[in-house]
Amino acid sequence: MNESFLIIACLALAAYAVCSILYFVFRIRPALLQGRVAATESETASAATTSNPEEAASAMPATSPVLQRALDEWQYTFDAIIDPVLILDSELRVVKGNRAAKQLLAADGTAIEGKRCHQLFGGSETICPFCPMQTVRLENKPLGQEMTHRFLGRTFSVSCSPLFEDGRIVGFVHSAKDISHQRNLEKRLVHAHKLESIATLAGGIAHDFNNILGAILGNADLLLYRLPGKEKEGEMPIGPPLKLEEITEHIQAIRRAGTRAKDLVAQILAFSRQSTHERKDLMIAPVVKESCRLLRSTLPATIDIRVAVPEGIGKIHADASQIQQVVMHLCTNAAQALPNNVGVIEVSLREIETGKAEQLRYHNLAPGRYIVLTIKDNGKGIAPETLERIFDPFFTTRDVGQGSGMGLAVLHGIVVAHDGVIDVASEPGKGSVFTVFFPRVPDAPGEEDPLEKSLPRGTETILFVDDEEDIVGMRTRMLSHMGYRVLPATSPEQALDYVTKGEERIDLLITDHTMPRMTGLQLAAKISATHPELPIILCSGYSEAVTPEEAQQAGVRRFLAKPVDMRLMAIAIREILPNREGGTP
Amino acid sequence: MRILVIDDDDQMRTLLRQVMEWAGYEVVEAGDGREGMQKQRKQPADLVITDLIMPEQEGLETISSLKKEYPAIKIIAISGGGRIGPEAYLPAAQELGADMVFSKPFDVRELAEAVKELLDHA
Repeated sequence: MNESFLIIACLALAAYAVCSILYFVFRIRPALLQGRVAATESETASAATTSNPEEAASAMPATSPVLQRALDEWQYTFDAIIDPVLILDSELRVVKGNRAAKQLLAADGTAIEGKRCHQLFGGSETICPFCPMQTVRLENKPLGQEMTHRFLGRTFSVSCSPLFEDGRIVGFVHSAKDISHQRNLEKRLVHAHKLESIATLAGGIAHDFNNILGAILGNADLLLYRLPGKEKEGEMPIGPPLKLEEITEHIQAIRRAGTRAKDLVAQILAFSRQSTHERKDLMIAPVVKESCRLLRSTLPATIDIRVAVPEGIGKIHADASQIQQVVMHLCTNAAQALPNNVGVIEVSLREIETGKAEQLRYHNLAPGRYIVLTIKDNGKGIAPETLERIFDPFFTTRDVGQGSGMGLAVLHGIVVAHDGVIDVASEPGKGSVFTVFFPRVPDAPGEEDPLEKSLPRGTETILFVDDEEDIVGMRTRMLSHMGYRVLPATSPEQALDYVTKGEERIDLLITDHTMPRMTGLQLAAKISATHPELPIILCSGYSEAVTPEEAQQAGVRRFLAKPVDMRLMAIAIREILPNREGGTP
Repeated sequence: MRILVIDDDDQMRTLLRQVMEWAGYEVVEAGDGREGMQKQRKQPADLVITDLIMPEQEGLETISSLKKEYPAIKIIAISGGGRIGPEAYLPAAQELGADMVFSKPFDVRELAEAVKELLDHA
């Protein structure tokens, strides 16, 4: 909580700082200059270009009380800013620094004025790598970026604004907010979350280990107790001594248990190995499958984990251990939502092409190709008021001791760092679905697209209708690529026209559900009334609540949930048109 | 005397069968509580050894059903514990009517002797 206040206070002060500086640059400084020109007409032109208000003031023979007050106010404001702010000339020399800048950069008491920015921040005689001033100089506009200065051992959120005079840059305002603490805290949060995941995992794996140990010790004991002459003194033999084949059987059982333990150790090590979070082009499917295998050991056997990972899922640019962390955590959360540890968790991966509809639905998801990880449970669901805050740090509905509740915030951070989007939909009493979009990495030139290669194809004519032109365009390209002839329609009326005119042979209708004037269901009902032989596929969002009965009554042969997976659509088409000419596997 | 052994872990179930056969009992095996109940109804056992965490029907529920349908039956519960360790489950098993409880891994001789003792006093 204190952290949040501190951050908000810093942001407010930073905003105040920027306003003050802008006020100085655009109001006070011109006034000073104007006053000076009025006071001393013989003032030289070079003095007029100084960026230092004190110099400007001292250069004036007599400062008016109004100007002096403005100057004082500016100075107080400048020094009140808690972040170090420097006014630099065009050669990056410090013209003036506020009190925070002097505290940070002039620890030994020497003046900072006249020194260059990189000498103070970087301890270097050359410009810092990625110096924002160079970009500002080129683009003539302010720039903000994060910079770590090893010389000071700190990370800053730096903002740099140009100072213009007669249209050319004569200096910069450089503000550096110290965010080292925040960054360290984030690192610790991620680390703590990982430890929490390991603890959860360890608890589950202990169960498997006890079974393995039980088998090893039990078989060994049976050998010892039953080997002839090994009965301990005073102990009555419980049963007959061992036969040779029984000895082999027990030794083999011990060996099998040992192998099982070895596999389990490999799994734990895979999970807990230290990672530097290095991202590379990664096949996500094996990572998801492996995580689910680990979960099987962790979660009670009463929870049914169903994994649907189709062949041919492509690569994402990601850190494998963090992706594993996302899967494990979402599944653990799902398990905790299942009453009495009984229920189903469905984990699936698919590839989709997103358009404007997904952009609106999923927090500005940029249109493109994504790999979508979905984790669905049929547990108790999440109340709407909780749903709003679910990705907030430390927000939790768990009891004390059951976890800090920082998990979803950390996951959100991981997903965003992977340029992805995480979304949740839930209905109390029915369950929740977490959907994570990761941008798919384009295949390297020459690399075969296993997905496209394996897609079933055909040559029939498909009437495709959706009110979004982008979707129609994208699907037309996709279906044409699979060999089909496509009749594109951007309204239900246009689709009806195609069918009623009968000029084109149509083998299949694929329609969106939510369209203006006429829903896909209504369109399907109209068409199937006159053309019952024409098969129809309806694409609809989960929330649009089309029941299977309604769909069937309207003549819909197949329902596809949006966003529609290209592969699922290709398979659905061939299932509906299996015996027609032109279909090839 | 017949023993019904219920455990979803194949290796553990085999071991339990071998221990009970060594001790001279006839053994019936089941992979979860539901299968265990079905087998019990077909071939009633004198004593049941059941794991606690299993798919379909877990051990606590099985113990409760067994005690309702067969009040005189002897029950031994064993557990390797789940997320919170065997000690969290075994007392609950005793409350529901298990005569004895064992944590995995356990001493096979102690288990064999416990079975004998329970059946001798039946």
